Amino acid sequence: MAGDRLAISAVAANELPLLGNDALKSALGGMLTAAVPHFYALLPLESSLLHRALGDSIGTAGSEFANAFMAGDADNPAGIVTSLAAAGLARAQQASTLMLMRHVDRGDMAAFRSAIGTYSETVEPIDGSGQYLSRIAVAPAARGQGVGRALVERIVSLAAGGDVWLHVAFDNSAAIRLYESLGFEFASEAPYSSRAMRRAGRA
Amino acid sequence: MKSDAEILSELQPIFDDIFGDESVTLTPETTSDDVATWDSVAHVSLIVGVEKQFDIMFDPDEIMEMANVGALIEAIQTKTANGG
Repeated sequence: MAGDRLAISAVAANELPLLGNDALKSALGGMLTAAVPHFYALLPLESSLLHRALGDSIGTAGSEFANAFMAGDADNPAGIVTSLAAAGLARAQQASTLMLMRHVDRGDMAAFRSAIGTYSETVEPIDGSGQYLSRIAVAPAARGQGVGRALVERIVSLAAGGDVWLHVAFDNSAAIRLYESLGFEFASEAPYSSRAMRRAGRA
Repeated sequence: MKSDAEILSELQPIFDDIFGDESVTLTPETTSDDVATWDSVAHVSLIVGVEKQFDIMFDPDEIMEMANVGALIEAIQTKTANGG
């Protein structure tokens, strides 16, 4: 069934097959958290609520998940990739913070703020154009079959000759190898935990 | 509709809660430059506090545009007048 896993389609929370399918939205939301587990683990939010909230943002304009593509099908999602216009990154991150913070109890707000502040210091700033690949995740059962590569290529194609940016954990050597093989290069040598990579578009 | 002064008095505890010792006495002219720790995350905390206090919701785009506390008061008045 590897062929099915490599089938990639645009998805949005308010359209089929996600519309009305809370299980699928939560499954994809769970994959989005798995893409940056060390970030979401900092947040004082129950994981099922978090998965559902992220699932509801898939394909929502102005969000970090404005453009979203699923690999596989609704019964067997193999992976997800999301992107947005790189120039809108700061605004989209603020919108995500707003959306998540609405679910945080008043007493946990200070912890939430400090977690986001601490985390953001570990992330290399990006100031670029083109697409920013915000999340990518492949379901454990579908790994090693080219799903991740196909998902990144979908965003490269969406960028239509423009730059593509992303962040990668400095020690995630498998992901770094994949991105480098697709033409991404580190934006700088700065020692951030979450380093910026850029795939230059056509000049 | 609530007056500017009424809204200001409801905003003050929300600010104090978020900024603690760094909080300032609010006026309509107060801006993020007046509080050292008023960064983008603090701003969102503030907006969420306002949403809960006044039972309204902001669009993400709206919250970037608020130049000062006066603009926030105006936005609250518009939203509460429109039933949220």
